[in-house]
Amino acid sequence: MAASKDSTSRTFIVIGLLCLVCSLMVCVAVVLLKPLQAKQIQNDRELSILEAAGITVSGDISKIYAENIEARLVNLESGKYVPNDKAAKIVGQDKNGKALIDGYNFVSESKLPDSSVTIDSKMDVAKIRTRARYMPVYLVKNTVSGGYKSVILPFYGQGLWSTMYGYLAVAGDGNTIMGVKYYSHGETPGLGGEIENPKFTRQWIGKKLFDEAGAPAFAVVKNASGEHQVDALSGATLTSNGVTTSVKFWTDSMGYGPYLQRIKKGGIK
Amino acid sequence: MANEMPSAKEAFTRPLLHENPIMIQVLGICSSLAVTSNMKTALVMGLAVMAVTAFSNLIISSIRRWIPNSVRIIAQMTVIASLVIIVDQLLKAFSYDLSKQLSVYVGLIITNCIVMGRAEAFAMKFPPVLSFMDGLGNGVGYALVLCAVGAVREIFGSGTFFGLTVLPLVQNDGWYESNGLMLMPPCAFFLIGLFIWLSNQALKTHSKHEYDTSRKDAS
Repeated sequence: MAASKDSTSRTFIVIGLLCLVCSLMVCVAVVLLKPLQAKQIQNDRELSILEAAGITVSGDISKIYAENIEARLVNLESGKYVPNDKAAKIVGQDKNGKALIDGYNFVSESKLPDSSVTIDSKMDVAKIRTRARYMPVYLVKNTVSGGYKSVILPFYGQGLWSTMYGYLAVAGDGNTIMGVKYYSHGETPGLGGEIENPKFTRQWIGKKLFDEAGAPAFAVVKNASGEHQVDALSGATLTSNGVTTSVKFWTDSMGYGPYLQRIKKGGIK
Repeated sequence: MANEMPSAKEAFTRPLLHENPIMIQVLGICSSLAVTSNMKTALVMGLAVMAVTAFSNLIISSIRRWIPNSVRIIAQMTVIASLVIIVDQLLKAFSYDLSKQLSVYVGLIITNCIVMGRAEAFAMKFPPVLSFMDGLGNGVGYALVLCAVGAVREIFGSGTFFGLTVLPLVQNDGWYESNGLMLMPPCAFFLIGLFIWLSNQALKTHSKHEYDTSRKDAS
């Protein structure tokens, strides 16, 4: 047996069979686990959004999410919603014809020339270079008296080591922060990584995004004072600066500026 | 390693301490630096490596008579890679949060010298059940060191153990000023170095340890 197993044809047959069996195993695992994984990713996103909205979750995440949150697609340039039937063409639709705004991957879209806008280097304080033309926003329903309580804006920007991704909840006046949640980043654990800490994010609640003239004024600085500032993280100045610039970019005219102006005038609709 | 057949118990227990893959053979260092900043990731990584070494040894050992000599490394690699992908997919499906934290390191189990080393050194020579025990033992040995490093780093770096507060931090109105170095990968280097030294000292008293100059000192 020892002599024949090393012949060229045997080598090809054995390796070929082995590859076939292994690839079959991998395929079966991937196909069987796909729905479970999609559910996990969805749960993770929904949990982050609910947390930014300040809604405590107990029980079925998807049910609470559906009761409280409505996703809309915003054209950043005009600040207007894209009607849901048109949005379905941009973000794709499920089998019932409902637009899949929830899973819209604005990060990968921002890298495609057709669906993104290049940011002028002077405006690019968050150092992200391009952004998607359309962004999903999440309206938080007022379950008691109807209408909407706040709107959650996905935002991101460069920190010290990594791009930091978060959700910012803004009240119906288009100015007051209702909450923030960073859901993905690669900052130093214990220092910049503290942007996740509820102790830090709790300080944001009630702060204002814009000054009287309507210019973005929110900042994370040392010895914070006033209604626009939050205390910086000690030992993480560059991460704190990154947080300031990412909020500044996304609340300015290239980001959600036009949309927030519209809310300021007419409320969340 | 001697070429006479060890018993199943021996195959399992030897890699736990006397032939520990990290402390004695100094294999698999890369991942043990990266994922040990807290207990949860260290434990899950340990379990993942355990599963991969055990099953890759089992599969490779059962087909060892058919694997052509000239391409045996490729054949081992194919089996290991498939197992790692399956483990990665399982983690993503059942423990998404942890798989996010472990990121690429689960995929990098493919390149972990322990898995490859056991396949080549043990599974190619010995029968399946014995190889399975050897793989399991090596996985457990790896997991033990990972958890030890993880425990030290998490307790002194974040003041917690499995996410539960042990030493309340100054940031959260406690008294413990956390040690930032503990959370950085280089710290694991110092800790593993310390463990290697301690284990060498401890084992010397039982048996004269012979240094094998041919061992691979890298991951």
